[in-house]
Amino acid sequence: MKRSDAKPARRVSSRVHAVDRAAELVITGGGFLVLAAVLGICLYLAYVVVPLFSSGSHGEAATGEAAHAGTEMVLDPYGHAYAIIDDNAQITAGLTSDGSPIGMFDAEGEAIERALDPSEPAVTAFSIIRNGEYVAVGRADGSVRLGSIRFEAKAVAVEGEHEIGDVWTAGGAVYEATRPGRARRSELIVELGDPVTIKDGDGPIERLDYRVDSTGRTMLLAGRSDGTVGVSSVRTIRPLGGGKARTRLRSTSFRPERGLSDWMFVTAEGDSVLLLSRDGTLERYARGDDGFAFAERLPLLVDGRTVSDAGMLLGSKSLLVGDSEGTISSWSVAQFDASGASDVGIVRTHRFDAVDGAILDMSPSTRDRSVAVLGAGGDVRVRHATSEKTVVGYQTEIDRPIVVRFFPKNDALMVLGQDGAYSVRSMEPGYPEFSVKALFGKVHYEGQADASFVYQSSAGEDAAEIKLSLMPLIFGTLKATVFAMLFAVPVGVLAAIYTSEFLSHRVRRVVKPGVEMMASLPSVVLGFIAAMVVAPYVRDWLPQVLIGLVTVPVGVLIGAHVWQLVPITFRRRMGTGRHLLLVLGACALGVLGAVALGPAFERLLFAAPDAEAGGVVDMRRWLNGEYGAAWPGWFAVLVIPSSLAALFVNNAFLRARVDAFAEKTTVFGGGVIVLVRFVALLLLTLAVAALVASGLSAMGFDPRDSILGTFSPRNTLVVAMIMGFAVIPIIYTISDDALQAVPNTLRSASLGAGATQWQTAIRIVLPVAASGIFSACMIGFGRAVGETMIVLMATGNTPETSWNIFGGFRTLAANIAVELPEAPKGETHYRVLFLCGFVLFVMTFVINTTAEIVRQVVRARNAGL
Amino acid sequence: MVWLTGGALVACLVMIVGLVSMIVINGMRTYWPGPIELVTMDSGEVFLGIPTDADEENARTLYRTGNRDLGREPFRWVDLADVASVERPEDAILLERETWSIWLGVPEQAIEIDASGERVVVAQGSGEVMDYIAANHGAARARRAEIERLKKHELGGIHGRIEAQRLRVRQAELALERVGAERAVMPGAVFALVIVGMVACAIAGRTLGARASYTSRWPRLARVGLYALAGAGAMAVFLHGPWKSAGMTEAKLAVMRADAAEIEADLDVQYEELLAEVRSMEAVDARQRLVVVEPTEGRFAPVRQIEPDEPILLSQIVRVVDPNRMGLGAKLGVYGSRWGEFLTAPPRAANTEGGVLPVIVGTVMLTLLLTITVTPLGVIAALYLREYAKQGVITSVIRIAVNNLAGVPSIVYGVFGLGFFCYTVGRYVDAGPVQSMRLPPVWWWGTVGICLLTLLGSFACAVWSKPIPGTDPSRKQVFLRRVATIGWFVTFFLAVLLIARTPFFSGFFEARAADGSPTFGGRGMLWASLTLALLTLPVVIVSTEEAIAAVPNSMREGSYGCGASKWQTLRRIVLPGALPGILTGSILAMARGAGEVAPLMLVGAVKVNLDLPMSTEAPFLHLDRSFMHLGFHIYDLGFQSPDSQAARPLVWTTTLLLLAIVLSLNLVAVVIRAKLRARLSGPTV
Repeated sequence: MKRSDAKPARRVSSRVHAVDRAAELVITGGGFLVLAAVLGICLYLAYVVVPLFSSGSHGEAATGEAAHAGTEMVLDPYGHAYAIIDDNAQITAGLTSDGSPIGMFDAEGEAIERALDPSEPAVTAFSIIRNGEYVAVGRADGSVRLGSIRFEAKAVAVEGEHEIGDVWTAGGAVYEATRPGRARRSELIVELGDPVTIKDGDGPIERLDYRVDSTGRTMLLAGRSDGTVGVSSVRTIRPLGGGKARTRLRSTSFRPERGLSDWMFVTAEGDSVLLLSRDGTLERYARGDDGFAFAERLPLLVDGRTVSDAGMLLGSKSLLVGDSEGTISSWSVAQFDASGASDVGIVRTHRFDAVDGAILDMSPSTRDRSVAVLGAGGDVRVRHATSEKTVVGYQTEIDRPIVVRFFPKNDALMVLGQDGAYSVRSMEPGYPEFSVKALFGKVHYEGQADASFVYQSSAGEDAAEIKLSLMPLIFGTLKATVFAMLFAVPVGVLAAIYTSEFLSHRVRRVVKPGVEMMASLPSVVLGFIAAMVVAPYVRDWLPQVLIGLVTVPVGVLIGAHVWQLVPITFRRRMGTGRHLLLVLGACALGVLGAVALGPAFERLLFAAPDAEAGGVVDMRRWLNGEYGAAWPGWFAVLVIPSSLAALFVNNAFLRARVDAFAEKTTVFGGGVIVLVRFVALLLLTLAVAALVASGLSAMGFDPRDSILGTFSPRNTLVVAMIMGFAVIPIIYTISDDALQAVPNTLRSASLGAGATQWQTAIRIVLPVAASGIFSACMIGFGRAVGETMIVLMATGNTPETSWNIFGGFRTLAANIAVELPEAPKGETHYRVLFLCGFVLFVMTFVINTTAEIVRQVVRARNAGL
Repeated sequence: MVWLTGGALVACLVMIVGLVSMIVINGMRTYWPGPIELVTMDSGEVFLGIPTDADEENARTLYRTGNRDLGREPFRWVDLADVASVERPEDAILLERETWSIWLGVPEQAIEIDASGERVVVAQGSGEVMDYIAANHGAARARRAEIERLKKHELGGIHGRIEAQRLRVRQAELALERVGAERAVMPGAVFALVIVGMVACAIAGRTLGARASYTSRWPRLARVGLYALAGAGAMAVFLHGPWKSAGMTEAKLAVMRADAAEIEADLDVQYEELLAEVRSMEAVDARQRLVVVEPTEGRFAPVRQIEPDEPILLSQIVRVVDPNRMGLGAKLGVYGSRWGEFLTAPPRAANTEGGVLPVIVGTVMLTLLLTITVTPLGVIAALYLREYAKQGVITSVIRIAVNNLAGVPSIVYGVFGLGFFCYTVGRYVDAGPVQSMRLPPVWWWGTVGICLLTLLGSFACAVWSKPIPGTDPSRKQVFLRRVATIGWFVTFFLAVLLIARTPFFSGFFEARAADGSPTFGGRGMLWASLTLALLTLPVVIVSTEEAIAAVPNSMREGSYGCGASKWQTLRRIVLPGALPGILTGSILAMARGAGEVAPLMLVGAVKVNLDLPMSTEAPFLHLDRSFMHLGFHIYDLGFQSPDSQAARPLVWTTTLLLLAIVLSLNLVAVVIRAKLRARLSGPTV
């Protein structure tokens, strides 16, 4: 064996050395790794979240000359071409100018002809949605053909030698070799139904708008040259035994006052028609009982701008208007009030500068609410219409660009030039719905009267927009926590004071672990109890529970005052354990009082005046705002602040005088005087509360809009009680430790100077331990912020933003628990949920660090005591 | 005011006592067989029901009426004012059935169907039927259990083997697809050269020996360098050796396919045979029937809801209870047997009945795994913090961080576990790095080289930064030590990078992953236990650290004084002294882990998975499986159950069970801590 030639006093076998070295290596490395892993959590969450904040990216341009070079593409009245692209970006298709043929070309620019019947009347208008999945073609004879012009790709076997990736054209289709002997064949499928005639009106179809919502309901708007506008719901009937599908239209027609406008749109539900003129005037015709009638007219643009392009966003709820200065605005039909259809009107939801110079073309995406914009200077921008985020932006190299189009999968953009040149750029949209503003600011969503905080993560259909504001969740988290702390802090801290200062050691040894045991109760158990036991109880006994929150402490206080009347010799003989039993009795009296007073309380305050609701007594209906005045609510809310005010009055003016007066009489007499003072203060409290309450309600404030409101069975009150219960032990234990850490010399000095035990506890011990108690509360707060199961089980998990104590909410934690199991990996929703986790992490980290720092600073300060 | 503080304490105590006793009372009374009442309503309607709840305020009673097959609500509130009479018929019985919950009725006949399909009445009237049940029920149940076992284990096993064959072929197909991109094989000469070099490096390193000293640092560096080179050579041989040319070919694949087809055909035959056996047993099973009639419509319990004319099989009945006739002893027996079933049987009827065995197994395994993982990690971290790390700003920052992590919401750990363990690490185990993440082999080997260099560099810095014992480190040495630390980190991250982006690994369960059914890439026991281990790590670290700090320094110094090395001191003196504290920490971690639900919802707990994470089939421990968990079970039963009222009793018992486990673990921790404190406050060495 080799030996170390360092110089130890005795020879040490190298094995010992090696083991020692290995242990050091393992423990140091392992320890560091464990700690790094723990810290890595934060980094990993950030790693998942960070991509959300980046914008999209785009690749290099591939340019070429399209087949229709030389021929002109068919343009709508504003020079916008019909153009669609297949999934693999190998074919694009367009209508060309002589009316009917549909030309298509592959990536090499080779034309493949697929013609409609040239004998048919010329195409005069078209409408195309979802990249050609639904197409309407209007003709000179006033007929419309509905159908689809789309691409189909399938894998086929091919003969001959082809390198993988080879692309060639044969028989009107494009092939790309994928594997030896296999290729993907992409071809254009044209399926147009028989012409259907629009009954009303005369002349060629000049405007067409086709809408299909996610349920397959289709609406067709057709404007004819004589100024008639027909709005039809389309029904396609497929005979059971196969055969040709027939299309039926059910039309309603009307004549707009100012004739056909430049752009005409019908909403997906078919209840509004929007007419937009080039000068920016928007008219809305709404469907009534007898056809469409003029509803409103408003100018969309100011200072001489004109409309350059307009289109409907995905979901057909928002109208996008691009103007001659490069600004895009979106407009949506919103309901101002849920009560009636009369309050429907057009509101502007967004407005942002998209490009410099006029907008040449806009193309809404078929996947999300993004829009690709082509500016006169050749600027190409992709903006998300709701988050206003710039997803991608670049300058195109095409000379006279006229068209910009998304590829169907939103993974590339194509720009077409007037002369047939085209350029294609791949793009990675990133997370367009997401922006810091959308997360934390108020956002104006389509269909809503104004901007708001909304969280609605799942958009099952096109019409529903993903709404990702985190504010309702953060609000819910704070709401739950604040109410829970209102319950937990007084109980926890007071209990700790009693345990530390007044309880004998023997009892304390049992009581403290008992309360600590509370901390180990699984939160799922508490949640179950909250939802299954407490919630029904609170629902059925609401007035009793509410009044119990007052009567129990009052009962205890009355008990204390009565105890003063008991002869002191008898009092001295009581141990603390038995003393606790007495307090328990007082609590029980308080509960009994609550049960007895509850109905009276409800009748007194929350009964309906006879005239309004037939003398109903039901607090929950009062809360729903069905009847009754505002003042009882204020009264109930104000009892607590006014009791604090009474306490202040007592401390500032009454206490010293009454005490001085009481000392002059016998012990018993003094007790009576103090009791009288207490009752007087109680009455004062109630009187002040009632006075202020009636004052407030006279001024027209109603608490039912803010902290009181509609009662839902699983509500904040229940959560506050049970979550408070969950954090009490933490607050209790740490507070108790802080109180215990106060040196006994201070207590002895205070007691020796003649202070009572209570005075010592409040004036000496509590201030010294205050910071420890503060940090206890902070840690309790941190715990409540992240509590998941109780909230999940005991609330309805509705992301609302009101302080209503009888309403629900959704916290960050519960939101994660509800939604993450279903969120697909890597998508926006998944990352937003990680962001929720990250926010939670940061919140608790800040809270806990604050608590820890306070504790350490104070420990250093108190070291001198 | 003293009273107010006392009131707060009393409120705490009342709440906890009330809560625990509520759970205990509700949990304990659940399985007590209640009487069956025959209720006649004023309207003339008659039904059997078990009174389960009373609402005195509104003068009504909640009856459990069962008999869901009749399309009626299984629970019914009855206004006492509408009731004409209530009696307790002696012969009313309660059938606990395997499906469709309970049936209340009066036994009329026992029927046996003979070989020709004729129904033969073998017992008539309540008494005879009960005797018949007593005589035959056990055998019938045993037969049914055997049928279930055959179906599940034997047939399921064959199914599994067929699936394994399919996966093997699929795996080969995937390998064939990859063959084009397969790495180059080392030419023979290079191979020989590498082997020779490797051996030479190893021998040279060995010869240089452990002449470790503060004066001869170069040999140590050279030795580490040589060993590292040898290791790299071994890796190269392993990854590029000649045997790698034996990749998958079309011909091999064809042989394999034929092979698999043969085995599958074999298995199919076996399957058919077994199936025939099962069918014949089922035929025997279908002979014994019971006619138990309920009074409302005079219908008897059917074999299936869609076959109302066929009376129920004897073997479909789990338990027959006739509470109105039972004495206290018999009732106790039923009570005990229900608890027995609860603890030892799997759930049935969408979790609302039966037992919680898989749930208990899942919880226990999870807790054990988590303890096994978290204890060494926590102890190592605590040892590092307390014994090895230099106490200073960094350690106190780390301590604050660890304390903070104890306060980070558990759901955040769940989010991390799902994203990191399940979706990242698990995916890697299944299918290797994503194609776009893989480095080209040349780049990869380049990174290996850089990694070796940083390793050597940081080792050199570490060696040269060690001061001669008894002297203070010079500024240069302090600088070198810092460089070494950074170097170690760089090496570590390079190594992680090498693993994460290796082109040489395509996962252990590639075929299944390619089919879209992940093995480790989904939610499962392993990831759940690791997540919980991370969650409970601060608990163990803090309590171990406290315990280590509590070991008096005099003992350490004594040990050093006797000439023990640092590790010897730690192992023989410090760790034994800190053992109770470590134990307390682990137990607290167990208790916390057992009661935690929120992260498990994300990383692996599921509603139903009767495949236990532990079985007699290889590999015995199925850590990739999702599992059932007591806490999640409570949530599921209470909130996601199709028939939450029927599930209510089970929620209470499950809650009681969970509470018992968690509280007893905590109690043990408290007791150990008390003992530890007593020992430490006693006379010390």
